[in-house]
Amino acid sequence: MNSEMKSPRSVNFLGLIAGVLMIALPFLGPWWIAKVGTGAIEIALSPFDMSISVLGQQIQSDIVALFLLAEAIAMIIAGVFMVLASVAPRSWWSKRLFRFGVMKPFWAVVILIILVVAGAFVVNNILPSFLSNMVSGTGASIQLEVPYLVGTANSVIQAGSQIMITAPINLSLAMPFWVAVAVAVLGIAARINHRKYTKQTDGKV
Amino acid sequence: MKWALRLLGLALLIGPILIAFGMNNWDLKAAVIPSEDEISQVTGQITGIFGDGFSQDTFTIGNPTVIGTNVILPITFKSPLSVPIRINDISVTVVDQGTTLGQLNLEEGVDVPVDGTVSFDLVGTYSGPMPSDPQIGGMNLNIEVYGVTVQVNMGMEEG
Repeated sequence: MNSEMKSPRSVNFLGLIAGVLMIALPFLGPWWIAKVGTGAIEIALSPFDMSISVLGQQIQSDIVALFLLAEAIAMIIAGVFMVLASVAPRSWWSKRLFRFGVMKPFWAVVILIILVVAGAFVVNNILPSFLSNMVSGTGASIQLEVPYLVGTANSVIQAGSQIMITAPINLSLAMPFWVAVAVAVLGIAARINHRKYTKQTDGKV
Repeated sequence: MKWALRLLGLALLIGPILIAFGMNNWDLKAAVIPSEDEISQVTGQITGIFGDGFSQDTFTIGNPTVIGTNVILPITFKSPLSVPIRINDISVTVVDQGTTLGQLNLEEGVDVPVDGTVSFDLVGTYSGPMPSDPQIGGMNLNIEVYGVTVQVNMGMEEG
């Protein structure tokens, strides 16, 4: 007790900032937004929420909604653990609490990018042939072109020589995504920084 | 503590799956895909856009006016659609006894409210001899619905 009081109070500031931002992340809004036309289809996605709107009508899956809610709760808990571990980095429990959540923002960013790119791959390469098979014999042809993460493109559905539907598609990364990237980098830096406290603790033990 | 944290992570992974299944009477399909109610609302919305579809009443073609070499054809468009649209372009091909005389075009886009009726002119030029039986041989329509462009090419037997 006495030695603790004499030693200068140390705080892992990088971890503290990362922890506070992790608590805020689920409340910042969508990370990635896809728009077809002006309100024809809108998809707003983050690791904590997914909103799909077709002509203003919302659709959602229970399992996806609950899974993303759990992700939001997990991120908040991880943020609280990061804050606690960062304000008392020499405590015996600090390392465990820190490790629980430090990489969560990093993996959230990586998984979101993988999912969006995989989704674009399916829409560009698999969906057109699947849909063309469904409408085979009607003279319709479907050319879907979706950017892989951000950008704009036009998808075209041609029904014979009479009807052509052109849908502009716009994909963008929103500000919360870049906050998440910053938190992920901060988390990695905080993890490296945290080693010096745990090494000192391990050395004492 | 190590195990408590692992269990917490596991609970946050498995918990939502179990709750979603429980909410849907352990029906995998109901838990994973959106409800039939939501899907029918979306399909209703899509079919509702087109209402009764285009018919002969959709376009009313007035009598053309000729001023010098300029030809003006008044059109009344009665929208069958249950959403506001923008007509970006309409062009009609005028034929006379199998010979194409020329094209009449919309000068600028027209906004049409839900189930609304709008009137506008198609204009063009013609300097040949007076046609004996002018007819509309075809129509190209370019409209915008929710930012999606629909282009329709209609061939017509009679004007």
